[in-house]
Amino acid sequence: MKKILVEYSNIMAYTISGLVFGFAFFLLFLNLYHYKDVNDLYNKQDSDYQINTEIKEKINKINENINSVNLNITNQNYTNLSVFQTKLNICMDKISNSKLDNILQKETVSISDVYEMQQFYKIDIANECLVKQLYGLTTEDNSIFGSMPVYKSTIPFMEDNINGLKGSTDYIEKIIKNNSSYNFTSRSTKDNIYDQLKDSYYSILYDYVNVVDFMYDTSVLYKNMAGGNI
Amino acid sequence: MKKIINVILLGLRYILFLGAFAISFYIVLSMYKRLSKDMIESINIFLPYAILLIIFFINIIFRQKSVNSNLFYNLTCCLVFSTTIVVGIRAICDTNMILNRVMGYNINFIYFSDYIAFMKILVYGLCISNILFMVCINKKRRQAKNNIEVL
Repeated sequence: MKKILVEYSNIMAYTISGLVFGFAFFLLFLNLYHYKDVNDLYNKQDSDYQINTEIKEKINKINENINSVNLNITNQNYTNLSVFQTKLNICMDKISNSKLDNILQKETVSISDVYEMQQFYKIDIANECLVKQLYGLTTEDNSIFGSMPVYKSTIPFMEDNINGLKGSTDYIEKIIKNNSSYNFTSRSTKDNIYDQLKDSYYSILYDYVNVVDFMYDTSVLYKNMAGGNI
Repeated sequence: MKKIINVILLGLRYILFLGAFAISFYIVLSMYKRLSKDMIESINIFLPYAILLIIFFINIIFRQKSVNSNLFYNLTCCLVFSTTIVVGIRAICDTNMILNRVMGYNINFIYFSDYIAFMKILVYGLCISNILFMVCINKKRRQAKNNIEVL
């Protein structure tokens, strides 16, 4: 055995070196390739900027709706309506955050921007606005809609919308977190990473648009309630 | 020309060895600190580096030309250590790998720990091939001695 080892040591040494060389070469280029994949950028289309403008216009309209009506202290629902107004204002502060606006204004989007957007949606919009502020309005014993029987029918509408919107981006977070795995990359992996970037961006953007639409409907509802159109 | 390249690769081999060890030590240290684990438990990660360091010292002390002047071995060493450095830098700097920020330490521990097994295999491979090259030298020396005695 010792003789064979000594006899063939040179061949074995070169074989092991060759294997190590091949494996290291593969790992090095795999990593460089994965780096390129993960750092893919998506160039936004012109229509995306139009969506941004529409969102901004809608946000301005919502703020107008909320603050256009001067609540009359003699109104029998004054307390309930002012609570509703405060909740809507808090929501709008969260929704029209500059952090998201900066990402929406960018010409190119990276996967970290999309993750940033998703976190903003999850924490600021879903948790802070939809769940903490508006979900309470849909409970049976709430006094705002309870005292105005005409508006009781809006409870299922709000509840349905909030339930649909609050967890709509959670699956994206799970997918994006998987991009740290670099195992055996292939064309389909690359396409998958790129699709994640593009699809996730639009998915979150359209969820955000849906939230703004929902907030617009809610602000119109508030305006009607506070304006006395019961 | 071959000699110049070999000298450059030999120098790079030691520099990259230090770089690879330093970056993996920093990441593993941060990882164990975060997990509140004792650093002694990480000894199996750095054992191949320690063995390789000892072998490199032997190569230097005994001036083993067939290892030190082996262009292919030096190139392999450079490649292995470069890979470790690239992975380490990515674990620290590549913010588009989302787990980098999720972990809260700005180091992607999960990504690096995926690589630890490969790193150990590669460094152990270098150790074994270096030892085999050394055996090779002894064989050649013995043959040369025998030839002289015969003459």
